[in-house]
Parts: sequence; structure tokens; C-alpha cells
Amino acid sequence: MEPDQHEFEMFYAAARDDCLRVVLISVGDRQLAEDLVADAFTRAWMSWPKVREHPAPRAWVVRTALNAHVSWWRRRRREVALGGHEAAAADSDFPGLDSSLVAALRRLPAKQRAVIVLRLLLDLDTATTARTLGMPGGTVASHLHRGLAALRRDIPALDYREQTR
Amino acid sequence: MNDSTLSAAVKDQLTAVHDSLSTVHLKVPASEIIARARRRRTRHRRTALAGAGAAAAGLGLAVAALVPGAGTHAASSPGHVQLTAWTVTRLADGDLYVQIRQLSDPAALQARLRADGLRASVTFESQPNPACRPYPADTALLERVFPKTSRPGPPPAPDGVIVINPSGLPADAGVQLSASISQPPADSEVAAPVLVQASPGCTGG
Repeated sequence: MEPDQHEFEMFYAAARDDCLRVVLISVGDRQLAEDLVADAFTRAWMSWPKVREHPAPRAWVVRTALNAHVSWWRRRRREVALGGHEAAAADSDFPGLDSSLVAALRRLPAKQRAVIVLRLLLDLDTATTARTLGMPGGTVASHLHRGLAALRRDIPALDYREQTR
Repeated sequence: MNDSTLSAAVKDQLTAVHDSLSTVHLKVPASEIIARARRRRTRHRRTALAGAGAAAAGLGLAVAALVPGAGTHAASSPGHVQLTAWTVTRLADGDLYVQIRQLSDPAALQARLRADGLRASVTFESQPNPACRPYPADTALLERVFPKTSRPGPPPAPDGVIVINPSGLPADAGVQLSASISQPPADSEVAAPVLVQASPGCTGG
């Protein structure tokens, strides 16, 4: 086995479940999340010389999966008459996926959602988030601010929870 | 509540959801991921060879794709995501049909368009090239460079295709393609192309 392949397999073993859970929170459908993440890891292996040098390879995988989801959704929207918004139903085995916060997160514009996922779920700093998403740091801060504001509008209980922490 | 405390509250809740998914595992073995990549690379090479063959045969058709499935319709079911990233087709009359399905490898798309004679700048998932300056254009010019998709004679442009007429461009103008993603219910497709002033830093010449 080539050293690069061994290194990739180590990364895959360590990161695959975490990436799947993060993407599952974002898309709500387990089968879709598994396909998106497996596809993203395939791309990661195809671009491994670049991905291995990335400051946050997991974030690269998650970003790639979420981008593919947007593309998938667009195609589906054109070909299937969908009513309302994204039709992915939350997996009933995991009640957390039905929480109002997760639902509100999925309603955010894709870039705001990606920033919140990377900053708050993957715990990246602004600079790494900016590099991962290919946007300036100021834009990351702006998307985070707007995304949080939208979540607060959607879920007034967030204010309440904070006041009672 | 300021952003910092709100962010902490959201982070706490999302982390709790994440933790509740501890039994969720990706079951695809690494060997399958690597095998998929190998199959994909093989299809890449075949696609590139097929494209080169078509051009050599004088068909006036250039097809370039970055991911498997070039020239095919990818599955749209949730079970599979295999999307041709983009396709560039040059018709006999010189018009370019650009179909972008996935925001992938803008540099290669830019190179493809330039190779097809279009002064072009392409950026995905980032700010448009700061070296680009808007080109003053009236409606007549825009309609000449970006002809309507409903046009006489085959083939009609399918949905989602950007049609560009390079010969309609003034000598000092080029085309900028950039992309953005917004909320799915109202998401924008790849942003409408715009005219920019041609320059080495923006459109390559």
C-alpha cells in the first residue's frame, strides 16, 4: 500500500463518522447524507495531495458534501414538483434531528448554514472557515451574524435559554 | 443577546444533537471509496479521449467534464450523487452552450472557455475576480452576446444552459461567470453572466 493511501485511510477512519453526523444534521436524510459524505471522501482521495495540506480536511469533506447537496437539490427541484421547501424528512430514529433549531438551520441560505456548521459544529476559526469556503474572513463573519440573527428570529426560545443559563 | 452568547447557545444545542447521533456510522469501507475514485479516474480519461476524438473529427463539438457522467444525465434520486460538473459545447455557428451543474473547478472551466475563444473569467464559491471591471452594455449588446435560449433551428438550449455568442463580443469586452448559492426554495442558479472589460488579469487578454 502506498504511504499516501495509508494516510488517507487513517484520515477516513478517524473522520468519516463525524463528517456524516455533521452532514446529517444539515440535510436531515440519513441515506442522502451517507451518499453525499461517501462521494465527498471519494473526491478527497482523488485530490488527496491538496486535501492533506488543508488546515481542516474534515471541513473540506463537509463543505464538498454540502455543495453536492445543493447541486442535487437543484436538479431534484427541476425534475420533481416539490411543494414548500426542502423535502428531506428527519430520520425518526434520531429525535434531535427534529428539533426546531435543526429545522431552522436547514432553512438558512446555504452559505450561512455552511458557516454555522463549520464555525459552531466543527469549531473552526474564522480564517480556516474562510479558506474552506473560499470567502473573505469578513464575509464569514457577516454570514455568521446573519445566520444567527435568522435563527434567533425563528426560535425565540434561544433568547430564553440564554437568559436562564 | 449578542452574537457571542447567541453563538454559544446555538453551539450547545447543535453539539447536543451531534452527540445524540453517536450511533450513526458511515459503513462504506475505505477500500470502496478508493475503488470509486479509481473508476471515476478511468471514466475521466475516457471522457477526455472521447472529447479529443470528436474535435479531431471536425464535429465542432467540444465537451469537457470534470467528474464522471459526462454527456449523460446524472441520477437525481437521493441514493446517488454523480453529477457532471459542467459541460461546454460549441455549436457549428460558434455559439457556446455552457451548462453548470456543480460548482467545481472554475479554473478548468475558465481555461476551457478561453480555449474556445472566449475571453472569460470564472469564479465559484468565492468573490468574483477583483481585477474585473464592468463593461458598459445596453440591452442590444447583451442580447447579441447572450442570445435567448429559444432560437430557430436545432438544438434548443436546455434548461439551465448559458448561451454565449463569442463573436458578438466587442473587442475590449469579455464574459464573467460567477456563482452563488442561496436558500434552496429561492435558490439562484449560477449567476447570470455579465460583461466585463477585457484585461489580462480578468479575462486573460
